[in-house]
Amino acid sequence: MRSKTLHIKLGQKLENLKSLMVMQDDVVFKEVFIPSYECSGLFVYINGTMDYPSFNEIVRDLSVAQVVSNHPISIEQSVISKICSVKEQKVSTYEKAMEFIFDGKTLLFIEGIEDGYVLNLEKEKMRTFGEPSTERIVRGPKIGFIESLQENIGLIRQYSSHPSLIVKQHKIGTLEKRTIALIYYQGKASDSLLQEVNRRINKVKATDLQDSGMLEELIEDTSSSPFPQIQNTERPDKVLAALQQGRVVIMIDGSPFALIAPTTITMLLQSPDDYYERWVAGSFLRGIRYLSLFVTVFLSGIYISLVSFNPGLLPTELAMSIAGTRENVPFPPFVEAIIMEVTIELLREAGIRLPAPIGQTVGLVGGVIIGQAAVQANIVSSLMVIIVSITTITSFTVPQYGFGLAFRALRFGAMIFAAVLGLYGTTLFFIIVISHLSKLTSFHEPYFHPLDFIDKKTWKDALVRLPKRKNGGEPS
Amino acid sequence: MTQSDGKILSVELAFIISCGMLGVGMLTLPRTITDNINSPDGWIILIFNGIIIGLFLCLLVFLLKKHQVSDYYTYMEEAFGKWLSKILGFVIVIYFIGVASFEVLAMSEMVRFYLMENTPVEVVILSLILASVHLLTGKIKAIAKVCVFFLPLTIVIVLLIYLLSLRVVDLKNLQPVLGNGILPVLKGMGEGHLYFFGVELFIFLFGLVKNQNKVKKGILIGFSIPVILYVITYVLVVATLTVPEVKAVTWPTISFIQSYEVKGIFIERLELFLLITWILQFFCTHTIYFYFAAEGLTKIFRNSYTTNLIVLVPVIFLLAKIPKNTVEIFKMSDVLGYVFPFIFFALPILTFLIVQVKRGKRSG
Amino acid sequence: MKKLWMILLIPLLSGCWDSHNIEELSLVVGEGIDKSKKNDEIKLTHQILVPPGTSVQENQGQQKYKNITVSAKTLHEAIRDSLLITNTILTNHQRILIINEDVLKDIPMEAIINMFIRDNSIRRSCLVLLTKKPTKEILGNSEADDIPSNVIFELKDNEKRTNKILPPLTLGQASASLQSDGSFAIQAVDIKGGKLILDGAGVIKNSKLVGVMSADDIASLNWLNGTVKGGIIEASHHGDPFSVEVIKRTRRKITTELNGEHLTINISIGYTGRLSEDWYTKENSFKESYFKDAERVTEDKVEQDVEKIIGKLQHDYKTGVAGLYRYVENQHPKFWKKNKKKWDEVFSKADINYHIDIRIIDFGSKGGTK
Repeated sequence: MRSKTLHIKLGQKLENLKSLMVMQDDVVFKEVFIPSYECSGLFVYINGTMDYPSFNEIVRDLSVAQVVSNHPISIEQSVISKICSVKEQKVSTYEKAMEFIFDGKTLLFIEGIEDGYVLNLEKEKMRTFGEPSTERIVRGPKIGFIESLQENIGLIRQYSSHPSLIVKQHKIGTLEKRTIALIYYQGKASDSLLQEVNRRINKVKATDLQDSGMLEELIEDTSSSPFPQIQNTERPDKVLAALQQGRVVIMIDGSPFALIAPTTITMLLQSPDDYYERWVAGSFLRGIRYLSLFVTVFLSGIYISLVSFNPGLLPTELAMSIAGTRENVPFPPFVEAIIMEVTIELLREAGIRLPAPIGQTVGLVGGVIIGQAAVQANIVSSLMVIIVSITTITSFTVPQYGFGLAFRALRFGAMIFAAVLGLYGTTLFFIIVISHLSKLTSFHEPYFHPLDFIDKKTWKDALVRLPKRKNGGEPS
Repeated sequence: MTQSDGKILSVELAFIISCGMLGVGMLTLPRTITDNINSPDGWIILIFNGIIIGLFLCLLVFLLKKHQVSDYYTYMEEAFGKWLSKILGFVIVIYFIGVASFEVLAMSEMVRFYLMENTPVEVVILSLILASVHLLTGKIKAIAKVCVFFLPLTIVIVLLIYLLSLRVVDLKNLQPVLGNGILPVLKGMGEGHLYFFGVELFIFLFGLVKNQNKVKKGILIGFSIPVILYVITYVLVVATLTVPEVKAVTWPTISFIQSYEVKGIFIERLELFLLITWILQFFCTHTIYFYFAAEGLTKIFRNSYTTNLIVLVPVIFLLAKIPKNTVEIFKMSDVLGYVFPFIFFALPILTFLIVQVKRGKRSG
Repeated sequence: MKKLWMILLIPLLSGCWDSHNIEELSLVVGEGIDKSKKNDEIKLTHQILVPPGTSVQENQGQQKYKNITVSAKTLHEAIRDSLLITNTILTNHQRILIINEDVLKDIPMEAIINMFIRDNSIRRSCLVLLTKKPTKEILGNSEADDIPSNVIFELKDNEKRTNKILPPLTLGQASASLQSDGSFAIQAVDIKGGKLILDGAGVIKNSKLVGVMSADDIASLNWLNGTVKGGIIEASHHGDPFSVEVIKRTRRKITTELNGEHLTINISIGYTGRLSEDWYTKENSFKESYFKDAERVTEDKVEQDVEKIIGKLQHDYKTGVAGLYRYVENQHPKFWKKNKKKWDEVFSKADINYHIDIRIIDFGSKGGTK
């Protein structure tokens, strides 16, 4: 019965459709009467997907339609002209009809006409464009992507009107088809890169994806690495800059995060406002970010190795005051550090999960009160609290959240190495991290690229943000 | 610019050579030179030897280019035939293994002496070897990247430390120049090439360079960075510690940095930084030699590179366990010093001459 | 590969071979060496920092250091014996080493500092000082909660203000000088009126203490070497005293001449100074001849002092403590090589011509009276 063509009788149609969708309680069948043609019509739709104001308008239009005597037109033409504002398509089988209904469309059947009309009265359920919440900047465009792919593409097209901007859309997934879009500038993105991206996307065609984060893990080079090898962003300006550099952007319907590939470690550390602010300030901020990355990973490790392995390398006065603060602490520095770091990580995680106002309170209570109390109770030393606070603050300076997460996790590695092998262990851990980074690739492009000082233009840009006229003004 | 093609740029060649050279030499060189000539004229030896080896490198570039060598092992095969070349290659690999384990041993010795007295040396040695295996799975490209990252770091930190040391430096200690006449200097010159361990890697790296027309520039830059650092180190260390004292201390460069401290900044003891950067350099040197040992074995036995890496771990480890004390460690470097001129001077010239004759016969 | 790493990490976790908690170490800032009453034993005094407590009450009345004295045959044994009394000794922070005069009279200095140089943890920048008093008294003499070692260590910074202190002698320099068989002077420390004071110096020759100098001698020695960095010169003209403050050295030229076996050393040094005090009631510094006069008087004064110290060096100590041998070595290497062994004899017989040129370039904000 499913693949059967629709009956001509409206009553029959109604009955068949109802029996096909007997389990679906949210399907609405609404009969209307069109007085001027003296026939009835049937609207079928899913409750909640439809935009009621436009639906009412159509119903009203149909009911007041007058038959003009000198130009008699068929009901068919009349309906088409009345509903011309909406997408018009015909449906002739039950199967197709159901497909359209569950796609969120409204079907209109009219007595005496076999085919049904597909009306696109879909209500776009989406939030409005707002400031991206994960990548706040001080100066620069304050608009971020939303969950609707078509709107996002529209946003990109709005800023980039060049015809060589290609947007290729595929559907992937088995249970639910999701559109993913591959965006690039023709001529700028290399062929080998495009081939590689297509190959990898084809590989995951049969996977159901909820967010671009899942796609990212499936198509990156080394998924066991702690470092993200694909950049993600909510910011259209970042996407446009990446497109201009010949990189490829992948967007997936339902996710406000666009994926940018290939990427390098320095790109992940750059924030667009480096390029919007004056170059001295931009370079300064960039330098601060590199420093804070190092501090995040290694400060606690260095503290542990200096205090419990090589106190002789500390300045005398500092050694004295550290010994003083640690006088009554029962734990070795490593345990002390672990206690504090884990506490802070817990607070941070709790702060994210809780509703915003409570989250802040938890942060405050945790950070200030627990820290203070722990010091007074001689569980940790006051210097340790300072060290942990610094590493926590510095970990927030990384513009890319996921990238910052990697470093937060690595910090514990550095602490373990420091606790076992002291300063040598910390250095060894540094070596291992750097070795790992230099082996990583992002779509076969070296990941550790501009940081390796080879390409003169890029390494300068990696360290300082030079005045625009000199480096061509291409932000990344 | 993809990572997998296994070719390196001439700049990367420079960095690899520099990292390969800057190993244990930097920390002991002032003592070994001064021991040899017994006067503060070591810097003259360094500069002259540097110039001579620089010229020899130019000659090498010319010779290798003339025969369009892309892989030194096949080049040797052309010269010596299959079996002899395999034996020669094996000798070279043993030498590489020797240097690799010597470097890791020297590092463990330094770490034991200055950082951790009670930690078993085996742990230090093994952890460094494993760390370099981790890097070596990325082959030459990854090594190049690590070198390119570590070397500028090392240079900047070392120069900064040196700048802060100028307060305690007394150039009077370097005088008199040529006080004992030119003879001991000339004598010292004969052994001077030993301080340039690491340049011999060039003949094996030559074929890997992508932009062949810039090879000469790359190798000369790569060679001159360590030479300049050595000269500066020698001058500062001897000028601070005086000749008799330099001869008496085990690690003159670290002793030199311990003889002053910088007041007022967070870390006033700078040997911390020197030790850290030198662990990095030891790692680089060790890894580069390790790579060439594994790569050499692959070329000779035509087996998988990864197998060779795993096989070499215990070999290097056990070799590093042989010397019993500091004196024997330095003896080990002497033994390696005998092989160095053979690989760097004799082998390329000999190979070139034989191939030249053979090719001449074939075409004539 | 990743899993392999994890397995290898597990045995490492049982490690921590070298881990010591900082608060359980004894941070040594100063060491004193005395002769023990018992025959041929050495008495070693450690000055150990006591970490301040966390609360204010704890801090009150708590001394910041403690001294521990142990005697043994060798220094290292003494250090190890001190572990019977206190926590593990950490010598990385040691700043000063004070040696009693009596020790250096029969034990060579090279033997005394040998252990300190050999030890990888003691820094070569540690200061070496001499004292007449037992080192225990010096290290125990504190005022207002100060740590004596730090007081002494910081006093050496006054080098720029006074010329009665020798340039600081570090462990490294002492070792280097001893290695090259040079003789040198070593700053002495004393207690006067209950306070620590840098006073005088000892002369070390062939690792033995051969004589002592007064603070004024040090000043003269500094003038001879041209190592004066500050301080004043007192002289008098027209019967009234006046003083010149040293600003900086403008010139130092030392040449050596050989005439057969006879050595002549010419030293010429230039300084600029400021007329900082003048008791003469008819002062008129605005007149050039007036301060030219003053210049001449101060030059004469310095030259006289230096003359005296040269006499002392050549005839009393018979040693070239002034470091002039370096110039001979540099300018006449062959001669030096031959006479290295009997350098003290050569020095004693040498002619030393000293000339100083002091230019008063300013006279402060007041230049005349009446």
